Amino acid sequence: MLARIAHDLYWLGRHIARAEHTARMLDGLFQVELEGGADDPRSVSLSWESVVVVMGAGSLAQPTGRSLRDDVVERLTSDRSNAVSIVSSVGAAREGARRLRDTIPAEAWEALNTFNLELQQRLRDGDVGTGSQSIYSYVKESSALYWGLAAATMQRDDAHSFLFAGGRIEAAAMVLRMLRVALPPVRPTDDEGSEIPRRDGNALALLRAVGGFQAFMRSAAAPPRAEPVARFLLFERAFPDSVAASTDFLHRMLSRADSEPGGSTAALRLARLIADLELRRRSELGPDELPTAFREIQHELEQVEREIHSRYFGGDLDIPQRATA
Amino acid sequence: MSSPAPDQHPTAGGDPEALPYAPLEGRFDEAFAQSGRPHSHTEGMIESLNGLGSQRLQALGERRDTIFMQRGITFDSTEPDGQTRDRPFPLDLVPRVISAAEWEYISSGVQQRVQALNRFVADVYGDREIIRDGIVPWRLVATRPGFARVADGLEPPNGVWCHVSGCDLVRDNNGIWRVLEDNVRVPSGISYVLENRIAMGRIVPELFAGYAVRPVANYPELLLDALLAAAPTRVGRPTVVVWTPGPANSAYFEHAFLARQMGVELVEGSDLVVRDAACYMKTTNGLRRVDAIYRRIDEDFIDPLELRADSVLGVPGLMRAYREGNVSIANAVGTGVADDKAIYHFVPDMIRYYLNEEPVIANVPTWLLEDPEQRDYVEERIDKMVVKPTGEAGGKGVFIGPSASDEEVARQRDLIAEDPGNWIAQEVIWLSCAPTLVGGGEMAPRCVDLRPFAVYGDEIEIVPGGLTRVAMREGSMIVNSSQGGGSKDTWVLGGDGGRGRPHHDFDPPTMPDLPQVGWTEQGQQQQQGSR
Amino acid sequence: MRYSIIYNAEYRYAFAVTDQQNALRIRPADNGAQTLEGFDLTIDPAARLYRHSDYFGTEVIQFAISESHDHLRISAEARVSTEEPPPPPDPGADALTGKAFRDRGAEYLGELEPAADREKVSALADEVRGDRPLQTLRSLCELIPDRFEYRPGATYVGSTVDDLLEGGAGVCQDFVHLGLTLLRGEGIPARYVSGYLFAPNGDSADSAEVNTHAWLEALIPAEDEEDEPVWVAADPTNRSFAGDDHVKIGHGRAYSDVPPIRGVYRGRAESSVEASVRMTRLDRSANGN
Repeated sequence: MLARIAHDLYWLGRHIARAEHTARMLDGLFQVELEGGADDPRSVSLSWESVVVVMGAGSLAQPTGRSLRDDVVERLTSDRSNAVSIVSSVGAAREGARRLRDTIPAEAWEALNTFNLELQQRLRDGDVGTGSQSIYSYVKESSALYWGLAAATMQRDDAHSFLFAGGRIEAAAMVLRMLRVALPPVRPTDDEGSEIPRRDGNALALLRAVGGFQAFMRSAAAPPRAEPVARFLLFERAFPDSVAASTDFLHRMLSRADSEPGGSTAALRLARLIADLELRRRSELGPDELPTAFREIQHELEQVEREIHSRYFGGDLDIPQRATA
Repeated sequence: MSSPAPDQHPTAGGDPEALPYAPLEGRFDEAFAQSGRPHSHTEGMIESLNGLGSQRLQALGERRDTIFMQRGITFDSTEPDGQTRDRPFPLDLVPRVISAAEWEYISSGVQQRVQALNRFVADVYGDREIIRDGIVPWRLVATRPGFARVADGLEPPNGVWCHVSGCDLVRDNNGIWRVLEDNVRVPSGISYVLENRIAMGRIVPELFAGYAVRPVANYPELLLDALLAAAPTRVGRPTVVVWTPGPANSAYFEHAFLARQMGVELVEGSDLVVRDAACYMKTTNGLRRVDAIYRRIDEDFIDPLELRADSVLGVPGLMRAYREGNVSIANAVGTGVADDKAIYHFVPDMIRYYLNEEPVIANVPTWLLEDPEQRDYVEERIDKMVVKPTGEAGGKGVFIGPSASDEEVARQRDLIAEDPGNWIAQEVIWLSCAPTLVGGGEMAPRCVDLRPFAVYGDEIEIVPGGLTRVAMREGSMIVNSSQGGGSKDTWVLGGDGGRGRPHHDFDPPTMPDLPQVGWTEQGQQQQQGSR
Repeated sequence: MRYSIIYNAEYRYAFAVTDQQNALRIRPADNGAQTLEGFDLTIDPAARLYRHSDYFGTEVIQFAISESHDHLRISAEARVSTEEPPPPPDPGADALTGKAFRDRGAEYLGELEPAADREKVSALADEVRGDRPLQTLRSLCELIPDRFEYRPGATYVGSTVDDLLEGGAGVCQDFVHLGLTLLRGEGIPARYVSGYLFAPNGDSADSAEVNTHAWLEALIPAEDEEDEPVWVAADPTNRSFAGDDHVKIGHGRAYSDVPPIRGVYRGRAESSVEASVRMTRLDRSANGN
C-alpha cells in the first residue's frame, strides 16, 4: 500500500494506544494515592518527577502555587500544547482518521469522531471525575470501542496490519514506561526495608491499571509483588498487554505486510528483541536489575520504531531489485 | 404558485392529484409541449411522478439529502454569508429524459467534436498545419494561457491527448442543440452522474417503470481501459493511478470514487517520485513503477522543475519522465490550449479542416472582442449579449446583457476597453427548461444544460446522458454548482422506444437457448409510428 | 571570435539533502550566428544527463541525484565561435502595425508579470520613443544605464520591474526586463536573452572572469515588406547593440523561461553557492575566421 497511508494508519494506532495507556497510568496513580496513608508502610511514594521524565510531559519547572502533581496531571490530560497529552493524542488520532476516511470503516471513524468531541466537551466541563466515572474511564472505554470496531469490521489486509502494528508498538512502549515509573531504581540511601512494600504497592497499582490483575492471579504462582508483576508484564505471552505479547503481535503484523520479511531490518531487529525478551525471561531478575532491563528493552524498541519508519514509510526508499507488479 | 383548475392543465387529465406545471412561454421545455401535455417520451415518467404526489416527493427529497450527506456526496458551496460549507450535492428528483434518436444525434456531434479537438491539440504541438493554412491565427494560440510550451514536440504513446472531455451543450428556444463550451482540461462531474443514477434507483424507483434507461455504471471501466490504452508499452500490466490534489480539493470525492471504482491507487504528489526518468509511487514494499496517471490536478502544477516552481503539489522531474515516454498523463499536458473560449470559436472550422465534415452540432455564435470590427458590433448591442472572460471557468465574470443595470453595462464596457483580448461575446441563448421540484413539493420550469462525458481510449465512447445541470433560481441561466446550481439524472432511452425491459444497470441473467431481447432497427421503426 | 567558456558552480548544503533535480541552460547556442565547437559537462556526485531542446530552442540538460548528498559541483567547458551581426534594418514605425508582423511577434508582446507601474513606464516610454523602432531601441539602451545604477545586491532573482523603478538600481536581468516592458509597450516584440559577455577587466586582454549575462533581442521589420523581420540584439546594461563578444545561450519571454540553473531538492537545508565563469579568447586576430 502507499507508504503515506500506511504511515497515517500506524500513527493513528499509536495515538489511540498512547491516549489509552496514559489514561490507564494516571488512573492507576490516583488509585495508589487514594489507597496509601502516611503511616502505611505500603504507602506509595510517587515520583511525579519520574512521570515527567518517562512520559515526556515537558520540563520539571513548575509554576508557582501548584503542586507538581496537579501540573503533571494537567499536562498529560488536557494540555493541548503538549503533544503527548490525552487530548492531543485523541485529537491527532481523529485528524489522521479523517484523512483516512476511505481506508478505515465508517463505524470506526464515527466512534473516533464522537470520542474526540465528547472528550473535549468533558474537559471543558471540568468534569475529570474519579473512579469509574472519571474521564480516564471514558478514555479507556472509547479506545476499547474503537479497537473493537476496527477488529470487527476491517479486512485483514495491509491497512489492518499497520493500524494494529501502531497500536501494539505503542502499547509495549507505554507498558515499559509505566514499569519505569512504578519501579524506579532503588536509591542506595533509602531504607530498603520500607522500600520493598512501596514497590509492591506500586506494582499492584500498575497491574490493576492495565487491567491485568485477574489474569495475574490466575497465571502466576506468586503474590503480586514487584518482581513477579514486572515479569508478568514483560514476559507473559498469554496476557495481551504484556511487552512480549505486544511484540509478538507486532512481528506478525509486519511479516504479513512485508513482501520480503526476511530482508526487512525492522522485522529482524524485532525478532532479536523478542529473542532477547525470552532470554531475560529465563534468567533471574533481581530488583536492581529491573530498571536497567526496562531501559534497555525500551531502547531496543525505539530502534525497531526507527527501522519501521525507514523500511515502510519512505525514509530510505530504493527501487527494489525484486520484481514488482 | 396557485393551483389552476384541472381543465386548464391537460397533463392533469382531470386528475386532481397531478402536480401543476406550466412550461415557460416561448421556451423549449424538455418534458412538456407548450400545450401543457408531456412529450411522448416523458409521458410515462410524468404519470409516475404525479402518482407519487407532492407531499411524498418532498419527503423523498429530504431522504435524498440525508443519504448524500452520509455517503459524502457533497460539494463545497460558498454561502451568501461568504462561508464555504459542505452541502449535499443537489439532485432534483425529476429526471431529464432524452429519446434514443435525439441521443444518436447528440453523441455523434460530441464524438465529432472530441475527435477534432484532439487533432487540433496534436497539431498545435506538432506540425501546426491548421495554422500554416491560415485557419487559426498563431497569434491566438501562442497567447493562450493553456498553451503549454513544455509539451511542444511531444507525442503521447497512443496519439490521444484528450482522454476525458466534457462538452457543455444547451438547447435554444427552438429546441436546437448548441455547444456552449468544451472542457478538455480536467472535466469533472462524472461521479455525480453515477451517484445520481444509483440514488434515483433507490429513492424513486417508481419513475423508472416502463422505461429502459441506458446504463451509465460502466464509466469507470471505460476510463480504466482508456488509461491502460494510453500507457507506454512495457512488460507486465500497466500500473494506473489517480492523482488528486488531496482531500481539501472540492472534487476530492470524485477522485476517490473513481480510484475505488477502477481499483487503482489514489495518490497525492508526495506519493510519487521520479528517479532518472521514470515515475514511481512510494509503497510499503519499496518503489513501484507508475505507467499512466489520471491527473485531476491542473497541469501548471504538475512539475515544479519545469512548470510552476511554487507548486507543492507537483512531482519534480515528471515532465522529463513524460518526455522520455516512460509515463503517460491523462489528460495530456497541453490540452488547455483547446479549453479556451477564444479557441472555441474555431472548432467548427477544425471539424471541417481535420475531418472534412460539417459540424453536427453548431457553436453558439461567438465574437472575439480583440478584433476591432467584432468589438464594434458587440458594443452596439451589448445589452442583448452575453460577455465572458476567456480565461475563467465556472461561470465567473459572466456578464448577461438583458438582465444588467446601466452601471453594470458601463462597467463591462470599461473592462472590455482595458483588455479586449480577454473577452468574447455570444448571443443570448434562451436555455431550455425542465420541470424541477422547487420546494414545497411544487414543480416549476428551470433552465438546464447538458454535459456529456466522452472517454477516448481506442475509440471515443460517450456515456449515455451525462450531467444535466439546473439553474435553481427562477429565471437564472447560470447552472454551475459553484453558483448554486443543481443537477438531474439524465436518461437516455433504449432504442426500442423505451418500453419493454425494466431499468437495470447490469446485464440480466439469460436463460440458455432463449433469444435475448435486443434493440433492433426494425423494432424502433415499428414503434415510432405508434408514438 | 572564438572563445573557451569554463563554467563552475559549487553548491553546499547545511545538511544532507536528497532527491535533487536540476535543469541547466548554460550551453552556448549553435544557431548559425554562433557555432558550438565543443561542450563537456561533469556533475559531482555523478548523475545521468538528459538533454532536450526546449520550446525556444535552448539546450536544456537535466539530471537528478536521489541519494543523500551535501554538495553539488557542476563543471562545464564550451568552445564557441561568434560573428559580428549584420547591420540591422531601419524601417519606419508604421511597419510595426502589419498583421503578419504582429502575428509573428505575438508571444513577445505580452505584458510581463507582474505588470509594472503604468505611469512610470509611460514617462520613460515618452523619453525613449523615436520615429523609427531602431531609434527607440538605441535610446532605450542609453537611457536605462543612465537612469539606473548597476548595483549587484540591490535586487534579487525574483525582483520585479517595479523594484527597479522604485529602487533605482539593479543588475542586467532587471535592466532587460525594463527594456522588454518599454519595447513591448511601443509595439516592438522583444525577448529576453541569456548568455555570456566577454568583458576583459584589466589583468588580461584575453581572459576574463564573468557572470552569466542578460540582454535582449527586439524584432525589427525588414525594410522590404517581402523580407522576414530580424531579431536585433541589444544590451541595455552596456549601452550598445550586442556584438561578437556576446555569446548567446538562449532566449525566452522573460528570465524565467531561460534561467541558467533551475532546481529543486528535498530537505530544508540552506544552500550556498559559489559560481564562476571564465571566458578566454582562443584567437588573437582582430576577426574570427
